[in-house]
Amino acid sequence: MSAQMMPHSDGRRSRMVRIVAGMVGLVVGLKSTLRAMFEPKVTVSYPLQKLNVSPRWHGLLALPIDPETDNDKCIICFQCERVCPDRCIHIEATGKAKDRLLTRFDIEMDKCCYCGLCVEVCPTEAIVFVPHYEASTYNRANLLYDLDDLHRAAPKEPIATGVVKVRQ
Amino acid sequence: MALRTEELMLNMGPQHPSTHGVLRMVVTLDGENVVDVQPDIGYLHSSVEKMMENRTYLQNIALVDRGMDYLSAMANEEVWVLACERLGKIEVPERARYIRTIMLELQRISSHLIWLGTFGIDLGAFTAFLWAMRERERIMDLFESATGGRLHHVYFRIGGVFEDLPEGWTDRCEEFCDYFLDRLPEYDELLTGNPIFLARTQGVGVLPLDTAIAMGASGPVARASGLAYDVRKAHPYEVYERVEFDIPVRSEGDCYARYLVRLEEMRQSVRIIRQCLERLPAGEIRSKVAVTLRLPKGEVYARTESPRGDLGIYLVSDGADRPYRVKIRAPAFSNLYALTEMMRGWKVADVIAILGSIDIVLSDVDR
Amino acid sequence: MSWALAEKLKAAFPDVELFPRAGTEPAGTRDQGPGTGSGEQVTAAPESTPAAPRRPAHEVPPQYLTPGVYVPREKLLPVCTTLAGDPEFGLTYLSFVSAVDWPDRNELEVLYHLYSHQTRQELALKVRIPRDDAHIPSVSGVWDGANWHEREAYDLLGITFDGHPNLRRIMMTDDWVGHPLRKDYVYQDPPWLVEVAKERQKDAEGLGLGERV
Repeated sequence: MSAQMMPHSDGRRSRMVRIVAGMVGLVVGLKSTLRAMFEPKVTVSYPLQKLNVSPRWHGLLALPIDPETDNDKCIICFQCERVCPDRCIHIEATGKAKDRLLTRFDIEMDKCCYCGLCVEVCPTEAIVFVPHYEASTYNRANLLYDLDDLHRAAPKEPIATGVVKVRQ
Repeated sequence: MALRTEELMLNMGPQHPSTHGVLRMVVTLDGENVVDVQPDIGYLHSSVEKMMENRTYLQNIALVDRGMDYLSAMANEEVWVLACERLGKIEVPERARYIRTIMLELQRISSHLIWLGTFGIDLGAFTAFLWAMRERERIMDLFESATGGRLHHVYFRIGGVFEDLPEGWTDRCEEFCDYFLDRLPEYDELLTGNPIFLARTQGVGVLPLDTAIAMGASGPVARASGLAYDVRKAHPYEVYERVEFDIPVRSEGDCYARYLVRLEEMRQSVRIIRQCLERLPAGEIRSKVAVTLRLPKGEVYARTESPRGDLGIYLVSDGADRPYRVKIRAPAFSNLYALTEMMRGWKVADVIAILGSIDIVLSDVDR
Repeated sequence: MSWALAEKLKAAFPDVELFPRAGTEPAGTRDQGPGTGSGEQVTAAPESTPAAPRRPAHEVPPQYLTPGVYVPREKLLPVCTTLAGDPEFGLTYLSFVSAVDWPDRNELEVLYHLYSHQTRQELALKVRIPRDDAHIPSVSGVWDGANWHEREAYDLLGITFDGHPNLRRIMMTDDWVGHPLRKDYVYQDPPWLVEVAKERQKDAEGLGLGERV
């Protein structure tokens, strides 16, 4: 079948009618566009103005410091390491049972897919999301967050993000 | 004296602004007329099916978000958790089912908006794109406040949803519904009645009904050809059997019909969302499911209506904590195959319009 | 989901074998024919016997929640032609073609999923073929839509579809070695990629790209 055999719907109409219809369509379209000019702006000029993210925002990960113990709440159960789909959390610890000491808690943020499963399974809310979204660097190696970085990334006041955790 | 002519092979893509991703089309042209189109796919192939075999059922929720159709992550999560729940006979609390339906329909609107915008760009109407993005941004905000993610939510869980809706979310969702219905007529002004838009879409890229079925087309593409089939009606999941909505069907099978079907689908989605919000029950949002879930041995095929069509997962479990084999039936894959039939005989300028009208997402095609 | 279609097919083609039904007795009694009812209560059956002793996982028979049949390889084309052409079945829509690899049984199960828009019935077909002789007739003449699905199955699982009009790789590059979805597939960097990676490594040396700042 060739294209010539399939006429456009307005093929029968005269050229003049089509021109007029086209003009009318343009005017109607432009009217809507013009109306939008007088509506409130919906964009923000990003680096100058910043958007507020929701409390549940899947931003960077952090290990907030618990003011009572002056340490993070990690109990070294390795659940987050195990559940991570990208295997980007690396935990090492020394000692046994109650005396375990966290020696390494690395998150490769370049691999992280921000799925939040680690936050979900953590039994003590030791690992949390922080509402922060500017994580780009010039160097990939900077995206390896170690224990210090994760402590530092946490906000000073205790996390009260409104995230309702679901317990199993 | 007859001029000597020959057919011309034209490569569109893989880097081409109108191919909506990394799609290469080998177009054979006779003058300006398309003789044959061979889509060349696979540039975005990530073998999701293989990756899923190496992840637990829970981890796979995060994977299907990204690995499949990235514009409708909720729909991907839905089909995955649905397959797991059917095989494991896991109950989902009422409230979670309503929440899921709301999310799925919001996702459908957002996906159709992206399509509407890019289709507008393809045909030279840039304003439609900006406006569609503006509307979509509101949905993204709704998603963000409920799930924490804008594109990739990881919100559905096997046996429910992750978290309950935050306070005031339903009001904001209601607000969005009103806002969106107010905005939709603007698109009518901009596109539906626009003679240039009509001339470029009406009667273009006709896909007859029998061809559509034989080639496996589904979703809005098939419905625009007259196939009155929607998984939400034919095999209801979640709460679709309890809400009232219509399935828009057109018989023309051209680009314009596909456009009208999607536009009407957005209206119907708003209708579904409103009914769900009205009836949203209180209660549990998640039943108890172990983190390392082991599904019983067996096989199941779950299918849902994603924004692009008939999205299914055939899940084979051997009783381990991760699936033995997952086959993803991607709607865009079959719809793209039907493209070869739609394009034959049209002008090279129509190629863009026809490709734009079938709404492909290359990560869904290639998986 | 109703097993009626599967039973009807069994009546027309005695060679086909129904998937083992969930909740029914193991082999022997399950193929007693269509007299056992519509099969609508398939999923409800296990709940009716909650007191049954828990058996170890490897003894629990697999449950097939999607109605389907095993078809011998030789019978595939006649069966498919009947299913698509006979209005009694009317399965005019092919959802997908794929396969499941079972290396321990040296078997590939080629999987077809069919659907009828008129009767809203679905049916899965499975064809067992040996892994080392993975040939099967193409059904792209029956359902046009099988074309790409078969190419995908050829590409990812290494099944040759005899009579396919254009059996080339579709996802992977044409020079790819191996079939990724087979269970024994081991990924190896293609030689050109190794070369490129070496070049990149050389270029990056001395730039400090691997160090934290």
